[in-house]
This record gives sequence, C-alpha cells and structure tokens, in this order.
Amino acid sequence: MKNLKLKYFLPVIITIIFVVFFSQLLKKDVTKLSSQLIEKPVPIFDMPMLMNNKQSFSTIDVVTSDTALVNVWSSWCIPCRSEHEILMLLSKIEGVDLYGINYKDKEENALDFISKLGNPFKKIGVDKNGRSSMVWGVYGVPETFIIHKGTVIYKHIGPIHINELEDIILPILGDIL
Amino acid sequence: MKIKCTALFIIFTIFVSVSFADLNMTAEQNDRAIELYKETRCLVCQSQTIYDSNSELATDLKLFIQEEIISGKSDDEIKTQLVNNYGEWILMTPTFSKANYILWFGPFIFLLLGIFPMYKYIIKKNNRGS
Repeated sequence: MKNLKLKYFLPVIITIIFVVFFSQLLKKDVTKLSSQLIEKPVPIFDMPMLMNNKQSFSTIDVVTSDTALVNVWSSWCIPCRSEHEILMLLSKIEGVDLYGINYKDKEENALDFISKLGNPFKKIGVDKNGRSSMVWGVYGVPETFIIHKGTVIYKHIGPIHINELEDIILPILGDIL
Repeated sequence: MKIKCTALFIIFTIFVSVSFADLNMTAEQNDRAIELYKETRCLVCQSQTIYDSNSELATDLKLFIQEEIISGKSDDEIKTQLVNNYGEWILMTPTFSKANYILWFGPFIFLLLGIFPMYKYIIKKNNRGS
C-alpha cells in the first residue's frame, strides 16, 4: 500500500523539482552574458590614445595599476552620458585608476564629449572599428571591467546606475582596496 | 543615350557588387567563412547567427572571421579565439567538453530513466495476462 502511494506521487514530485529548477533559470537575465574574462588575466591589447595619438593605451597600463576600472564608452551612446557622472565620482576614489576605451567613435565627437562632461579617465584608448575591444569580449557600450592586480574580477554590462554603484561596484572595490 | 544608360547601369552594378564583396578570399575560403558565420551567435540579437544578422557587431565578427581565415587560421582555432573572447555561448552548437556532458547525454539518460520503469511495467502486465 505504501509502495503504491509513492508510485503515484513520484511523478508529481519530479514535476515540482523540474518546475523549481527551470523557474530559477528563467529568473536569470540571459541578455547579459557573463564575461569569459572573469578570474582571467587582462587580455593583450594595444590601442592609440585619444588625446595623444603617438602614445598608446595597452595591457601594461592596466596591469601596472593595482586596481583599475576599464570603461568602454562612446559619444553616440546615450546611456554612456548618464553613466558619465558616476564615472566622475569613481575617478575620485583613491587607489583606483580609471581607464577608457572609446568605441567606434569619431575623434572630434569623443573630444567634445570629454571636454563638455569632464574627463574621469587616466588614459583613453581609441578603438575606431571595434576590433581591439574584441579581446575584451565587448559587444556593446557601455561596459565596465574591474581589474585587480592584473586579473579581471568583474564585468558590468550597461550603464552603472547609482544603485548599482552602491550595491555592486563599491562593495567590490571595498573588498580589494 | 541608350549607350549612356547601359554604361551607367554597368558602373552601378559594379559598384553595388563591390560594396557587397568582402575581403579578397578564394571560393574555398569564402565557403569556410560562411560555415563559420552559421556557427557563430550574434550576441546583440541572440537567437540569430551572424550569418542572418546585419547588426554592427555581426559585421565586425564576420570581418574578424574573414581576416583570421586569410591569415591561415584553422576553423577550430578561430572558434577557440571567439570562445576565449566572448564565451562558449557564442557558438550555436555547444562543444563536446566535460562541462557539457550533461547537456549532451542528459536527454539519453532521461530517456533510459523513462524506458526502464515502462519496460518493467509492461513485463509485469504481460505476465499477469498470461
């Protein structure tokens, strides 16, 4: 008799387990891809600088900073504008070097953007055709990477909202600074 | 007039075809590129391949694949490079690696899990019948 009951309930139990399992999967936002770079060393890249074309922004810059933030931005990207204030705030944190990658932009527009909204970056690299940022796995703007001692520890996709600054970015920085 | 029109038409056709032509590749290289496009997911239009997509990122990725083919990389090397940059999700078919064993074998395991009780049930029923 006991056996018989189990027989009837087993399918129900299995169904419940599946429902719970898949509903958990649905909660995840699949449009935001986790980065392949997390826990990996900074990728090898080298790009000319925005304000000084003869110099370059490359892996060495990011690796030599104890804690670095690399932000991929563009003057044509509307969310980047709203994010810029946050970047200005982040640039004031001591011990954090903020770098920029100017993605598929026109030089004059990029310069205009920086001169109007301020320059939070220690160095800005230029990626005219979007190819140099491929090693970073960039597939849109803005994207922000946090690097600690040459290892990528976090990737933020989309603009950093003030809430996200408080809830995600600052705690991560707090842990490593 | 007619000649002018024809000339214009020819020039126009040439321009159009030039704008569609990608990097200089042999027919064989082009076939390989197309196969790779069909294997590569467009990350901004996620259920499409870059072959189907005209998004900017897809165009960049196509160009990347073309350049890699021309520089003599094998298909596997190009795929590895894409996975290193963007993660395994960029491939339409998951690789046959340890981490993906459940993905590949899972359905068969579940099938066996289903067949076994059914088999037992049928045997039992047949026995009862005879």
